[in-house]
Amino acid sequence: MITKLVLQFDNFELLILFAVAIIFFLILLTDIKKQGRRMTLVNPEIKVQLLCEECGFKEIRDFKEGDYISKKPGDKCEKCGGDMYIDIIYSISKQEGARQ
Amino acid sequence: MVSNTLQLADEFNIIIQTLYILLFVVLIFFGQRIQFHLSLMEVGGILRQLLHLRNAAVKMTMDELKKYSSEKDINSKFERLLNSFMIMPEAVDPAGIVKKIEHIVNTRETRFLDDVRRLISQDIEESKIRNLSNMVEATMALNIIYKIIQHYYLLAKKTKNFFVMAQLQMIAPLIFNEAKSYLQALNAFKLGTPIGDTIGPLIVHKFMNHQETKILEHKKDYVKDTDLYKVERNGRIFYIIKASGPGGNVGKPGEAIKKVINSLKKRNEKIAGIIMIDAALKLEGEKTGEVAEGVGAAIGGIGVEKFKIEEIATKNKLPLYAIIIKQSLMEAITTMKKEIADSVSDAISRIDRISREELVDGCIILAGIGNTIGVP
Ligand SMILES: [Zn+2]
Repeated sequence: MITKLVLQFDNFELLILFAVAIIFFLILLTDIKKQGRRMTLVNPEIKVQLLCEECGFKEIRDFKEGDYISKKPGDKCEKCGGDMYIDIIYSISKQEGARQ
Repeated sequence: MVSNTLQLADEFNIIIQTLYILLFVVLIFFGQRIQFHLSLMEVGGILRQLLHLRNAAVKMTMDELKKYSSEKDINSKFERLLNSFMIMPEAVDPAGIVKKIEHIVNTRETRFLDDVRRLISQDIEESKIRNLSNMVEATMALNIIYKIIQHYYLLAKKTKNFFVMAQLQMIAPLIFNEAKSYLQALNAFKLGTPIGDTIGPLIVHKFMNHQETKILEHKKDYVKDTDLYKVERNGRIFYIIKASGPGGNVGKPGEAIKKVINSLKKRNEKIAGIIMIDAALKLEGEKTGEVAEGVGAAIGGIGVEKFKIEEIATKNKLPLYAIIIKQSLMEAITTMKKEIADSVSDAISRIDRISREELVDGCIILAGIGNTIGVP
């Protein structure tokens, strides 16, 4: 009955109204979703780049509390057994980490 | 039957048209009010998220403080610290205001650090205490952001002021991003990792530990919280100034530069100039970690240290060079990004070029400006 009624309409006003309502609803929905995404705080991965004092061999590992630049945390070089020191400490965001 | 349906459709058309006209009337008279309520909803949502961030920061800082404290009413003591404030001196008669600001800032710094120290019962390293006080400061920043946004939100709601609300709606997302940065900064302070702002101290640290550089002298706490190094590189003498690390600390580079220039003048040593290295806020679209050179005192903060450097440089007619490393606010207060750390060698080669081509006569004063967290 209703479909028949709509079909007999010679103007599309009702249809347009529906379409507009649906578009607004979708915009609102994506907006709310975006807000939710804004709230998720991702703690970045923190990496430490160690260099060997003797031969300059480079090694990258995860950050441990108490690490600071130029500290010798006691890690030994894989190649020559020399002392390693912390060259740089840096962060990479999770997405970038996944890409690598 | 058919005519009946047609009549029904006709009536339906009239209803729709009436609704249309009604809609226009409603929008003309109540449009702004509807807009106001939409803004109210949006800002209200952001405000709730800000409260969430603030509470997360308070919890994180409290948990970290509790690790080192046996204090029973730590909650109320922390609350007192969180709500502490600083009143800037009167500026109606601005002569000598820098001295007054310096005095008030120093008083606040000392009191704040002592307050944090009193909260902690265990014997822990100075650097950890510094990092804890930085955590409390970031929490304070979040607390004040939340309070101010809440103030304007409630004010606009109470007075039904559309224009206050519209301004709030425009600025709230930007402020929210800033607040998020502060929460992430808390994580960096907790772990004690270098942040983006650390690039200044990091570059001078790498400069003096470079294989071609020889450290001749190290004066710890040359002025409060600030170290002085005398190094030789390529036959040139550099006096290097940086905050004492590896705890989170910015030191007093202005005071240190003043002191070292005065003592060099007393010994009749010739000074070629001053080079300052600092992180600087990039414009949106600029590359993170880009290095740029210029002139002037590259230092942020409340202005006391900048004033001192400019004054001493002017008095002695010393050229003041600046090297900046560009980054966003978010990057400046969170764990240092790889792109920023990678700028070290570029900056060092620029210092070398300046000392070779521009500041050729005499010793050079090199200051690494910024929070030295994670860099000794
Ligand atoms: Zn090795």
